[in-house]
Amino acid sequence: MDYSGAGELTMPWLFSSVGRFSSVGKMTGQSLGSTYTNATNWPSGNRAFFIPFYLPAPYNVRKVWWHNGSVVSGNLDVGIYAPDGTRLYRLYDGVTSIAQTGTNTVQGSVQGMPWWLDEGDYYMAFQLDNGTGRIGCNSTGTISVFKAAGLLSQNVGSYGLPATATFVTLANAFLPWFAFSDSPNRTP
Amino acid sequence: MSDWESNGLITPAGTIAITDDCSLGPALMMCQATFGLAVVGTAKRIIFVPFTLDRPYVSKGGWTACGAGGSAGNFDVGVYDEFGNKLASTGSFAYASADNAISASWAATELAPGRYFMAQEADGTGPGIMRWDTSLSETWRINGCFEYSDVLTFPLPATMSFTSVSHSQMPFFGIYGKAGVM
Repeated sequence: MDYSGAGELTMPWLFSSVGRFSSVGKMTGQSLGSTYTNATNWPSGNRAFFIPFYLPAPYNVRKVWWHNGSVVSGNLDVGIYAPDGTRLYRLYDGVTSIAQTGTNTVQGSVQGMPWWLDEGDYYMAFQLDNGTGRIGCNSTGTISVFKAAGLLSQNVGSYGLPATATFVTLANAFLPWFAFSDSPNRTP
Repeated sequence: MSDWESNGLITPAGTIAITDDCSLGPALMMCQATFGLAVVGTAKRIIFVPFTLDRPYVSKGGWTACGAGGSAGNFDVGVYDEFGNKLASTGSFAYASADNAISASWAATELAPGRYFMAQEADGTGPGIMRWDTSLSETWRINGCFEYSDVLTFPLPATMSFTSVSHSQMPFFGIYGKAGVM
């Protein structure tokens, strides 16, 4: 077989907050200690959660999706940050809000895309502007495990992910599940 | 900074299962779904699970994990390219009522580095399989799986469907290569 191998990588057609590129997904020896659920309210209105991830090769994000739980409410935002807290991309463009639409389904958006990401370290971010809506998540368990994965949060004062994140220690065990894809035409 | 070239994400040797990190592995760990024996439940429901290969892999067959207590039936396991074209499949092979990873071979098929889906289908409701169940089909949708739940054909079709998963049950299955046996 004529194949050199070293350094060659196949990027998947999606990466997620629990996939192998995320700090959560790489914890192969320990779960978060909680069962995936669609029935937990967003912990606090306008709170944003940040999940570290590493891209081993460039990726062109052309769609994002998430799981709406058993209650939907208000507006959400999804974005990508540099490790220093600088926002690189977000769905919300300051004009057109991303309304949470449809219970118990996977909702997607392509607003403002594509998002080009070079190889490197990032945070993926998710915000909901109220404490009523529900996103598929891990929401119980030992918070130390969530912190061990490097998860951070911020109580943002208003809707929309901020231009610069002020990372604070995680206040509660919570991890929303969402994914990014380079295929704009498929929502699973 | 070193001049190290590899990023270390090299896909596994031996079998490739949905539990591998190039597939659903991390999500299966974090969803903490109930794993155990259940009957298939829905005949001719096909589940498509994504995986990636970082190096060539010579596939030689497919397998699915079974358990005792079910009734007769048959399985088909296969692999599709990222566009939904079937590359190889076992064809029908019979359920055996025992704790086992039952398998069947196909002609050696080299899979180049790339994106793929592995697929599993049963022709009846009765065989006992090892599976995860979160009671939420979105668990699998979020992670890029698809389904073909209303076909009247068995075994696997030449072209897959990119239909949303509607069932919460995820069977334990995969493909194998290398030694050519399970």
